[in-house]
This record gives sequence, structure tokens and C-alpha cells, in this order.
Amino acid sequence: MIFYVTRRIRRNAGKGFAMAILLGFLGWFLLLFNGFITQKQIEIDHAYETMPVSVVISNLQGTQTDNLWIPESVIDYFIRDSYSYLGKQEPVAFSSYVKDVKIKSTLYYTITANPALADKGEAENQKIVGITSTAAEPALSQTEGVQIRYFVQDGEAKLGSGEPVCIVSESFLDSLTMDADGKYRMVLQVHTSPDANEAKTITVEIIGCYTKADNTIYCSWNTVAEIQKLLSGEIVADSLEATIRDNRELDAFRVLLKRHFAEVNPTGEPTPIPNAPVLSYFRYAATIHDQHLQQTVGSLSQNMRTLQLLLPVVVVLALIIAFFAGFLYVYVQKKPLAVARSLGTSKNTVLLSIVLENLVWIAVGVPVCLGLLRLMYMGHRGLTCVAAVNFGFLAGTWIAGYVVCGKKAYYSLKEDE
Amino acid sequence: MCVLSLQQVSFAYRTRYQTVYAVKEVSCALEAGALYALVGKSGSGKTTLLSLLAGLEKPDTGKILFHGNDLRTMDMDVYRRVHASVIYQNFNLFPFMTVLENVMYPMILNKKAKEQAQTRAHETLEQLGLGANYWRRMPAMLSGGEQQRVAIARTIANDAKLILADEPTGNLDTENTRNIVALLKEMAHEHGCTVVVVTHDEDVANEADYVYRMDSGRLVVDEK
Repeated sequence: MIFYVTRRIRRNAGKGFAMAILLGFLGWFLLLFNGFITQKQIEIDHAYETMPVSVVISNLQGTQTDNLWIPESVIDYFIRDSYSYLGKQEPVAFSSYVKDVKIKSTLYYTITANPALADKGEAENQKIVGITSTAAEPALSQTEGVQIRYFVQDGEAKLGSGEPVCIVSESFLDSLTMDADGKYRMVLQVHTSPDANEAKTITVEIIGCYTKADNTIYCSWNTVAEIQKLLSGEIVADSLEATIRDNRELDAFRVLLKRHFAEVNPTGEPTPIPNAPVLSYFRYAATIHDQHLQQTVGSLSQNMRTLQLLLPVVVVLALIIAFFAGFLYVYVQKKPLAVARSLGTSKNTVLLSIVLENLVWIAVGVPVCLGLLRLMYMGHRGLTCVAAVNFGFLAGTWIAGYVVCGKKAYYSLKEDE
Repeated sequence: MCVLSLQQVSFAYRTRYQTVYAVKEVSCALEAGALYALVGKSGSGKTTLLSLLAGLEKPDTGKILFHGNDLRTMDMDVYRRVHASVIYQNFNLFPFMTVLENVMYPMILNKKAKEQAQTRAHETLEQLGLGANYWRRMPAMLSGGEQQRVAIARTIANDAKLILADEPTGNLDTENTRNIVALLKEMAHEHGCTVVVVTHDEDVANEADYVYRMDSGRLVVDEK
């Protein structure tokens, strides 16, 4: 058997390599096709991981997202680590579904340290706005043409911390003088409203400035919230927005959201709160802005489904091609196989020699396939497809071997005479 | 010595639509050291009889005894490997093996050592006038006569005692025909082989020791 096989391989190397390349190509094609499916899945995962989806609190009609007077109880959902619903502690906190929470709260100030600045502008324009980040204030966005410059490192992070720091307008900054240690500071009297008598005095450090002629001072939200608590006993927010932490948990988050917020209703008709002990209505609506994510994922999923539907067809076609390639590769050898049989080679030896020779071409074909593919998309399912193609090829050779050995050897030899 | 004995052997080709009785109640004895010619018209059954003798077909009725043993009880692969050897009109050499490898193949199949098989192949080819310059050639590089000599060398090297030749000179010119027939006669008379030649050629038949004529499946022993 080895004698026969080695001679055949040596003398028919060209045909054998062609067969190996065909097998390699079929395997490569299947792996590539499978790789397209895997690539779509990777793109879907990437979309879920990178596309920001925000949840925005608004009025019931969805027409107003600022000056909402959002109470502390609602703010707590987004920032507290613990979460209870209907008196029961929930295992997963509401806040665990969100990140980059943007809260804005407004108070009013007068400047006491510098009498010259005491009446800087009209009282109602002297706002001190607490923000968790500059993104919480649309008036500070680059789309409004505003640039922010920080005097310290990590200014944005400091603004989002609990430190009493703030940023002011450039024109405001020009009217200030630096302290001995090279920093800008202000002493402010903070009120809950322009005409409120009660005030709280705070000293803030100015860590940056913004390009806009404005008297508004933007401070860290924690600083403003503390003052609100002291002055009025409660924290309220003008606006509240957050980014979803894990887009794959959107559906679970929607369930939680429905417990506390209505869906936007243009008519403004109030929605009753479910499971409330006393009939009450939602005060606010929450909107999840995930249209872009849904469109992207939907399109990719549709592509992936189509490819997944086509995959079995492609695999079957490749199997058929491999089967017939193997069958024909052996069938054209029927004369020398018949000679071998007529010289006394047993049927099993002939069949084994066929398998052995073709295993050699498979062994060559697999590296060809890997070489073509450069080790891309080598998932488990892909290897199964490559194995299936080679199995189809072997099955074709085996069946051809049976057919050839089945025919009376003598008749095969006489056919040409 | 009787090598092969046929006792009322019959064989028919059966298809769904018809049955053709190719060999009908043939009885004969083939002795060692003799050259037998099997002649007859096309379709007379001579090739079928040859295939029965070679163990490529099994008789429907009757017995074929090889040295007293019924062929039906023997392993046909072993029978063809060790005892019987067939030479074809179209030579039927392995196109992917050299002349030497073709001659060595039956010996390798009989598990002879490669060196031993090679030496024996060398000797046989030399004996048949195919020297060292032929050994590494592929069959396609040889003439018809040379290829037939390689086929005969394959038979001789394996020490087969029963040589069955199916129109071995059918594709050869007159000179090569004479040479091949001479070789077959030599195998029979000098090496004690039983040689059966199926032929249309009367000149070849005239060289045989015995001539059997097949007519419609029946065997007729020629006057010779």
C-alpha cells in the first residue's frame, strides 16, 4: 500500500496539489464566510459598548428639560448606591445602570469680599449654578461657541468633585485679583432666590474661566447642593440626565424607569403611578435616546441573520463540491485501481491506499487554508466547517473507491479495448 | 501435471432484461508446461472463460479446481497475487510507476523485501532484453512491444505458474508479436508454466501446443 501510494503521490503531485488547493480554498471560503458573521457580532458588541445612550428627565410633554425643580428623592435614584422600591430594598441599585450623571442646580449670589463687586450686575442675573460636569450646562457647550480654560490640572474633574471650586467668565475674572498664593478666590453670599433674605457665606476658588460675557458662576454641584440643603432643607435640580452604563441592560433599565417616570405624552395627560398605595401621578417623564443604537444594531443584526441563513447553504454547497472533487479524483483512477485489484491487491488495501493518499492532500490543504486566511476568524464553528469540507472530500473518495472496487476489475480494464 | 481442471463450468451474464450464457458446460484440463490457445469469434465466450480461470468471475455451475482445490474455497486475491497472472491486450501497466516499479509491484504485494524484489526485477528485465536504461522510464516512453514485455516481466518476476494472456499481441506489429509469442512459449516449455492465450490471430494459435475453440460458449478441442 505504501509502495503504491508513494509512487502515486510522487507522480501526480500536480493534480494532488491542485486538489489540496481546492480544499484549502473551500475551507478558507467557509472560514471567511463564518468570519463575516463573527465580524457582524463584533460590530454589534462594539455598538453596544461604545454608542452612548442617554436618559433625559423632562416634563410630561417632553418639551422642557431644564428648570424642572426635580426633588432630591428623584435625584437619589441616579446617585445613591442603595435603592428601595415599595419599601423593599432592591438587590441592584438604580444608579448601577447609569454613569456620567449630569445634574444642574441653581442658586443666587452676592459677592461680599470685594464691595466693588457687591453689585455686579442685577441680582437675578447673579446665578451660582452647581453642575456635576460642564456637559450638564448647555450654555457652556462648544456648540454655543464657548471655550473653557482651566488654571489647574484636572480642572474638569475638580469641578465634578465636592470641592468648593468654580469657573467664571473671562470678563468676570478680569475684575478679580490674585491672592498671595497665586490663586483666585471669592467670598460669596448664596441665596435660594434673588430676593431671599437668608444666605450662606462660602469661599470658592476659581479654577478656570469661560469665553462668554456672563455673571454666572459655575461651581461643583455638591457645593451648591449642600447649600440648598442648609438653606431650604432639600436639594432640587433644574435638569437631570445620565448615560446608560451598559447598553445591553437597557431593557432591564426600562423596567426600573417605568416605576418612577412616565413616558413622554404630548397631550400632557398625567400617568398614574402603578402600585402606589394612594392614587398619584408621575411628575416627570424619562426618555431614553437610543434610536441611533437601535438603528445600528438592527441593521447589523439583519445582516447577521441573512448571513446565518446563507451559511448552511454555503456549507452544503462546499460539501457537495468537496464530495464530487474527491469522487472524481478517485473515479478517474479506476483503471490503475482495477490493475491493482487484478494483480491481487485486496479491496481493503485499495480503499486504504485511497484514504491514505487523500489524507496527504488534506494535510497539505489545511495549511493552504490557514495561509490564505492568515489565522483570522478561527472560531470553533469555523474549524468545524473546515473539518466538514475535508470529511466531504474523504467521503467522496471513499464512495468512489467502493464504486471502482465494486465493478468487476476485469471489466474496467476491458472498457478501453 | 494437471494445474487447472474445469468440470462442467457454466457462466451467464444476467441483467434485468436478459440473460446471456457466455460459457456453457465447459470441461477441460490444463497441464503445466503447455501453451494453450483459446480462439473463437467475438462473443464466443473466450474472454469470459479466461476471467473464470483468473478468478475474476465465479462460475454459476460446475467447478474449477486449481491443483485439486476448488477456486470457490480459495481467497481470490491470494490466488491472483501468488498463482495466476493476467496479461492484457492494453498492457495495463501503472502509468505513475517506472518500468522497474511496475515489475516490482506484485512482489512487494507478496511482501517480498524491497531489495530482493528489485534484484529479481533487474534480472527479469535483463532476461527480456530491457536493460538498465529502461528501468527508470515511465511506460508512456516505451513502445507497445516494450510495454508488453514489461507486463510479461511483471508476471515472470512474480514466479506465477499460471499465465493468462488476453489478446497479448492484439496491439503489436508482426515482429513484436513473434517475440511475445516466443516468450510465452519459453515460459511454458522452459519454466513449466501453464500459459493460456486468448487470440484472434491464427499465427499465434499455430504456435500453441493445444488449441481450444470456443463457439457460442461451448469448448471444442481443436484437431491439433
